[in-house]
Amino acid sequence: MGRSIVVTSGKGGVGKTTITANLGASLARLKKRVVVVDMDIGLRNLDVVMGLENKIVYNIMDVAEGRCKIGQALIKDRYLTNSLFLLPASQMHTKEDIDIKKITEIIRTIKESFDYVLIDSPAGIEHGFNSAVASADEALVVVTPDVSSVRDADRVIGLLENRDIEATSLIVNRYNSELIRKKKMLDVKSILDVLGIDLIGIIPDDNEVIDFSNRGEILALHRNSLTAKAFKNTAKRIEGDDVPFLDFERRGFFGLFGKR
Amino acid sequence: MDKPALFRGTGEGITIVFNPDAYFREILEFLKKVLDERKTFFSGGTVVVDPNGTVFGESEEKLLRDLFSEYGVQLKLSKSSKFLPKSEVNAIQEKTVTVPHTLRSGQYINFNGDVVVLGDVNEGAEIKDAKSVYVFGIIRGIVEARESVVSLGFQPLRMTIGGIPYNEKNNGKRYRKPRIAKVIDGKIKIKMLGEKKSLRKK
Repeated sequence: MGRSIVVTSGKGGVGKTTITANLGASLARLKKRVVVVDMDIGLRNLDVVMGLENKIVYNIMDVAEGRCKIGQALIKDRYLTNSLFLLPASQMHTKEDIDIKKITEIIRTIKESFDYVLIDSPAGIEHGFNSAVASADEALVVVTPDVSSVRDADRVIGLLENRDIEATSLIVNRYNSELIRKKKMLDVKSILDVLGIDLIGIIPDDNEVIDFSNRGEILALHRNSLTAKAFKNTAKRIEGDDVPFLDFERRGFFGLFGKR
Repeated sequence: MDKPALFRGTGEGITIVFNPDAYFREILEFLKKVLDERKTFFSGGTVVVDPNGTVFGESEEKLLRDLFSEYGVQLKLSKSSKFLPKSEVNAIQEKTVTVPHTLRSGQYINFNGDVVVLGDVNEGAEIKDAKSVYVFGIIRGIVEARESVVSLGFQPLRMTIGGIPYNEKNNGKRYRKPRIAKVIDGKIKIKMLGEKKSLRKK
């Protein structure tokens, strides 16, 4: 039986979709069988980020409404053809059309044949968010080093506490050590002070991310950069390997007096 | 009533009426003082105790009887009230007592429900027989709780939770965020308050 993890944040635009794709790929690279599910019904993006938009035949609403089986809707990744799959969202529906019971059943079925189901949650805390969370056992909260994002993440963590989420961890995305050094951005310690949950990944602010998104390529698969390494380390920690955080990150921990 | 207890002469002899707002320990100490000062007056006699709406458990009753027998005085419970056995006390009151200051050396709380201390529990202070104890400071004294103990530092002279003694040497660690000590698998473990399970596979 696999693990179902919802990737959520409250705030929009913090990197949920990018993280879902890259983390999915990193886990697949660790020899795990992964399905990434796009729950942003009506505003689908996971397919674009993975370069699979031309391969979509069926989507999750087709499965939920009985027009096809799950297997028919799953799309193989172009590179990790046996270990990474996408279950795309529908672009024609809206979140109000989601039947939580059906979606939960779909995710449960996928869990039986895969190691990981990563669910890309939409922004917000309404029906779309609720549906994404309802089908998950665990939650990964994404936050960027700014007060708005932290406040929204705090709200979301509070909401998650009232659901059947058995484990929660935090990823700090868009970590910019220079801005943190200049005190123009929150450092990790301040974020953890407020949110108080386990930190499982720090992803640096990387200009390449947009470029890769636009080209429909997953950065973690094609680069040996610090960012790719950060994703790989996060995947390892999810797998139970207590990898220490990378050097660029430690600089931020100590604020001004970091190692160079 | 601003004294912990009042003495009243009635047809039954001397009746001691407790102040329902006083901590049991205060009452006990007050009675000890009075007994000390008026040894000859009381000895050999019988005294009636009226808890006056306060509810105490077996251990308190025993302390009271022991104290009076030291001075050769017999204790009788007033017809109108009784000491309740401990289990009944638990059922009736889910009460919390708040100590609005550091518990100093020599101060003592013996209370069946939850105890909150707005300050430290200094060495020489004691909290006994509580359900859970919540200290907004450091514990250096004696704390005995049935369920859990929360504080910003555990350096107790003695601490037991649910009867299990706490054995770690704490080397003066002082936390910025509160920790909770509770019994897990038969041993006392100290964790962050509200610690959640993480995604890291065990």
